[in-house]
Amino acid sequence: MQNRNLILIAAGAVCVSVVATHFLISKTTKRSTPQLLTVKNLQAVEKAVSPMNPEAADTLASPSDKAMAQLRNLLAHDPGDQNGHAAELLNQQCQEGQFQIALKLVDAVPREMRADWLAIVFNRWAQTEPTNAMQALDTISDPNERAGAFQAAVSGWNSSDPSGLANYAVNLTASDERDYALTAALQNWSLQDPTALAAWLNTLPRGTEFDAGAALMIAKTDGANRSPELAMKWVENIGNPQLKQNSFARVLSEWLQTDSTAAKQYVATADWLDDSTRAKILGTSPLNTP
Amino acid sequence: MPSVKASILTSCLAAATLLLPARSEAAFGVTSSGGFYTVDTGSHLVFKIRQSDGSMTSCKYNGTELNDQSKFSQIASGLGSATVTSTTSGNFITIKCVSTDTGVVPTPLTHYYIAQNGFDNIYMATYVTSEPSVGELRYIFRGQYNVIPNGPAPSNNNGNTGAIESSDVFGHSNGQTSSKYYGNEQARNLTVKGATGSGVGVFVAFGNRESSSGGPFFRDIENQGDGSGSDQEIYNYMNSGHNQTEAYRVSNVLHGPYAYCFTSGGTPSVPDMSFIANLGLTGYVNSAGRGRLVLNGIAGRDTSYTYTVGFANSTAQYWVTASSGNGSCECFNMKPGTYTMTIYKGELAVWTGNATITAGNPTTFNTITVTGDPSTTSTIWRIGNWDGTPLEFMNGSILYNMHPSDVRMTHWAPTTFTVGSSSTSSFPSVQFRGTNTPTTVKFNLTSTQAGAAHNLKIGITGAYNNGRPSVVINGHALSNPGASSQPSSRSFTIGTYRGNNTTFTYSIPAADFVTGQNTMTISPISGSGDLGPFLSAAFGYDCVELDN
Repeated sequence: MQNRNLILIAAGAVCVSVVATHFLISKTTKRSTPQLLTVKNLQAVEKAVSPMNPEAADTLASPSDKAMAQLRNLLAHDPGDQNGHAAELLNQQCQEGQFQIALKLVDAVPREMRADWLAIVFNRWAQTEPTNAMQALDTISDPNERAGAFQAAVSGWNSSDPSGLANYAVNLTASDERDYALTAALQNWSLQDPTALAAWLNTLPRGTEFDAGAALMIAKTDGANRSPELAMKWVENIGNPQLKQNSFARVLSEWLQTDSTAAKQYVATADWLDDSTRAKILGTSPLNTP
Repeated sequence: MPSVKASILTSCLAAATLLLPARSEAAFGVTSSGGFYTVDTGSHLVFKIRQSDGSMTSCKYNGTELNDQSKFSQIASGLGSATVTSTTSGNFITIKCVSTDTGVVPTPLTHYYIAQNGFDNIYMATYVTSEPSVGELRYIFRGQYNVIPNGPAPSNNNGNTGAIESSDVFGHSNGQTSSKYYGNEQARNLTVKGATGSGVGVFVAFGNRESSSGGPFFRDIENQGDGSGSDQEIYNYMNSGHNQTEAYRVSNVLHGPYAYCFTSGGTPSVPDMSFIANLGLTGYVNSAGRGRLVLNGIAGRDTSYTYTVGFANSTAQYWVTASSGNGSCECFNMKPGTYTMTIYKGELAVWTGNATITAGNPTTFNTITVTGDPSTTSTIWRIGNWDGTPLEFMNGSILYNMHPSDVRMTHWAPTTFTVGSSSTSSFPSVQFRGTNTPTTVKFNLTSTQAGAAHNLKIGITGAYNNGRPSVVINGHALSNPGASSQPSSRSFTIGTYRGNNTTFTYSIPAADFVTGQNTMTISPISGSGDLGPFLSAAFGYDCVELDN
């Protein structure tokens, strides 16, 4: 009789846990994106905390443990996550801002899934908490995994805040990561807000980054953003000969179409142009400019 | 009872006979005479290839001449001059045309015409080592309009009242428009297309697209009905600059095989072209030299959309539709190599990675989780949804079929859209600087919402003449963005919204918002001049949203 009561109490406790968890997750799911997550996640959670799965039911102490139990259960039934339920669980953690938990989940998946999962976590993390995401990269010891996660983080940060990413990148020590992040940031920033980029470039010393940023800004803008005269001032400040040449050709072509007299006047008087270039431009059509 | 059975049997035999490929007892073979190869397919079709340049000068079906007798049918705009040879092997005749005029094609182009005994098809394939000087790689079948007048209506210019844009978009007295640019399918949906006349039909089966350019959503010219007394042109475009979003694949690749199919008027099914593997065509990669990719599933999908998985590198492109169940798919017959692999929600890239294909063995991907769907962002409001298309907006679903000035379009004019009450279909699909600018969006904010900064996102599907959105909110002008990277040709007026999807994000400070109703205007800006009301700086909308 005593044993029977214990069994009934235990069963009742499991049921309460199931209902409570179900309710909790339902509310959480409604707050995020129900069209993407509701059905599958509920199925996954129900599986994980099913009375048939005592391991999961016994480990509802913390959100981290609970998520881990769910993941282990899902992978036990589907080691390669062919039905995508484990990935949905990871998505859910990221949606809820539980990035530390998401990172722990990565440690529990098969090796061939790690790189993709790290990319998901760091992309999402950097969109909302870029500084934390970048700091968390230091917990990755494998260089290849770190490189993939870094690129994912850069992509996430860049999508929401290219100026923030540019400021972060420019302060990194010289490395492939610095080049990668800065190039990505300048590319996007020059598209999204070239005026702000111009102001930022003016705070940089002349050199590689300034040249790249100025050339990008010139390439992405036209008379709707700035005058040709102003663009030529930027061209004059570019040190890299090839970038300077390309940028000059672009602005000159645009200027010749909108005000050829002013454009030719500029060419005739610009002291940074050599005489042969000047003569070539003034004696040929716009299409033949260097 | 036996008579009923016999009747059923007779009917079945008759039906079965109708389903068989058209055959007759004509003599299959090729003859060389007077500077032409004349091919009899052993059925109802006889065609002539000129030996000096590879042009098809005659094409008779049941004795009726279908081909224009002055301009001829040809690859590109003709090869100028070519070395043309003929080979017969069993039931197959191959005519090989190798270009020799470097002014027309800088390096040799090899075009194949192939006939199969008893079939009314001309199979073709084109091996290229550089782009023809005309800048377009296409085969043009120039039929006689009067013989095959019944072509696709959107590209039938017969009876037009004159060009309304450039020299290739035409108006009609009823206010409608037509052009070779209209009514064309996306590459992923290409099967057969053509024109018919009395007792005759000519169709192109577009065939293998692996060497074409532009990906699964690209549209290109398929037909042009020039009108009575002129041509009915039936095209297979393999590449062109018609709002092209990719580089051409022209370095030692075979385009095709593809086929022109001739019928008594019915629409044919896509013919089997597998026999071409045995004909030794330059650049043909047989199945043993190809691989495949298996994707176990896609997680994080919005199941109300179709997902397409695309593959692209410098020599080939492929795509496959993901299953609606779990997003799994399998892509077959891929050339070995490393591809950029892209998962599209609708037409919007939501995941990008690399896939390496090896011959013989499948490459398997575990379930991929999409990471780039902007629809997962929490918003205050959203107009449309992120799918890389303007299909849900005003005139969006008919852009491919007509000029924006067509009377069947809802009139383009400046629009005021009120969030919460206006229908999505009243929001313009395209913002033309010269026609319907500005679009005004009115929306309400609570005091809490108005007290915080928010991001405004405007997604565009493409742009003309460097058009991009300039935004003013409650009288405050936001910083103007730069121009997105887009093809330089016409777009929205030639039947496509498909450029490079780009999202512009505007950081709006709290000071620009007010509690209650806010008013925002969107206008295209560009440093380029406008050529007309619809050839003005413009962009197509994918989605507009104000984030939380």
